[in-house]
Formats: sequence, structure tokens, C-alpha cells
Amino acid sequence: MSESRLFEVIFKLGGEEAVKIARQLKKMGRATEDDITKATGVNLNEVRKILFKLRSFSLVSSESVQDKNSGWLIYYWMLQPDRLESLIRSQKKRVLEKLEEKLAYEKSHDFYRCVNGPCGKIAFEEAVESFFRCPKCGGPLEHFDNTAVLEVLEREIRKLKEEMERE
Amino acid sequence: MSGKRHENLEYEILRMIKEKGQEGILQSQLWKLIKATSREGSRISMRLERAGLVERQRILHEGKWTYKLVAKKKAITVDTLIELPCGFCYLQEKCGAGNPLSPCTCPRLNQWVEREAGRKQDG
Repeated sequence: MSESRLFEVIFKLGGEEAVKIARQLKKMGRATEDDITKATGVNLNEVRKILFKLRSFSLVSSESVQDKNSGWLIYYWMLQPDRLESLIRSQKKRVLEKLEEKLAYEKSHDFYRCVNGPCGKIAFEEAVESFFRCPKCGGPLEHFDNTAVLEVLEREIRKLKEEMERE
Repeated sequence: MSGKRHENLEYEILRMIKEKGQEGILQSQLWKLIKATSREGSRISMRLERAGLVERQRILHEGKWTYKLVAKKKAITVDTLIELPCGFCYLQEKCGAGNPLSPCTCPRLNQWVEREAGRKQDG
């Protein structure tokens, strides 16, 4: 997979600062949180937060080494670009499950929406409990036709399944 | 040839063949690109064929018989995943059956789906 794809995913996970950190790791090969902070100007807490997030998606790895003088553990971080493909595969599976769960819910419920605007839709059961008044603003509720929502979900599920089959 | 080098080469070859899509790539061109000997390359391509990962098509190229390698599977793409709000959502671990959050009621997913549905109706 191309490097630009890797940074695109990293951007999605942690924004511009995550990309800065990842680029720095790529340049240095192996670096401590302090090294990264000094080189990128991103504050230490943010560096840690982003590194832990990237590690939870296996895009970076760390190893701890005990400092001979202080006895403290020093963490060295490394970028793992070769994990991107397997991350994408597993994410596709996860997201597919979520979309299927959402589709089943949308298919098995009837929805109502506030006439006043963007308060969001609620299921029939909840609408009954609030006497068909919006729980957020008190406005009247009207029936919401979710046919287009079902079509979008079905389209995305189909797209993901087709991709997973041919990749 | 060491096992590790062989494995890396195999992975690299498969990746390059996948990137060429349905157009495929000539064996001879591929070996030049990866700086492998034709013996090394042929062995690997035959192994990839046996594993069902590539197809070797015998073709006549500039008066010589050679093989074109075409991947049976396409290169992995990330576009669909990046567009979806669940793609790399930071709340993913807390979302789904048995968790405090659910895709059924997730406001981010709802907004996205409804926006897409609106776009579909407008278009």
C-alpha cells in the first residue's frame, strides 16, 4: 500500500498532529516521546495520546528499555506501515457488522421526527412515551419515512461486501 | 536464497502484480523491477499460481513466448472505509452489542446516513 494511504488513515485517526508524529517516526525509525515532542513541537501529552491511539490500531509499536542510570523505563516507538493492510481488512469486517446491525434496527422500527428541525429522529416506542412530543424541544413529532436511509445502508453494505470479496 | 528474502520477495511480487490490476505485468518486466533472477522469479510466480493468488497467461511478446501475471484478487482499497463515520471511529471499542454505545442510535452515524439519504433524494 502506498505511503500516502498510510498517512491518510493516520490523519483520519488523529488529525494533522498524528500525521506529523508518524512522519517523524518514519524519519527517525525509532524514537522516544521526548524526541518526537522536540522534533514536531506537539506537546508531550498529545504525543502520548496519539501514540496510544495509533498503537491500538497496530500502526505503531513500542518497546521499553530500562535506563541504566535512573532505572526508569524508556519507551521507544516505531511506525508499522506493513500493518496497514491487515488493519483495513479487520476494519472493513467491523464496520460491516455495525452497518448490518444498524440496518436491522432501521428495518424493524418505525421512526418519528420533530417538525421544528434537527432534533434527530426517535423510535415509535419512545415517541409514544413522550406523547408524540419532541423530548428535546417539546415540538410535535411527525412520521419519518426511512426508505432512503435503508437504501443508503444497503448500498454501503453491498459496497463493502464486494470490496472484501475481490481484495 | 534465504527463507526470509524469499518471503519478502514473494510479498513484494504479489503486491506489484495486484497494483497492475486486470492489465497484469509481464514476468520479464517484473523480474527487472525487483532485481530478481528469472529462476527466482519463476519459482515464486509458480508458487503464487499454485496458491490461487495469481494467474499466469502465456502470451507472445515481441516474437517471444512469455507469461503475463494477473492477480486474482485486487489491491486493497480504503476509500469506502474513510468515507464512513465508523471507519476509524475512536469510540469503536465502546460501540456494539453489550457496550454502552450502539450503531443503532449513534448520532454521528445517523447524521451521516441521513445526509447521504438527502443527497440521494436531491440527486
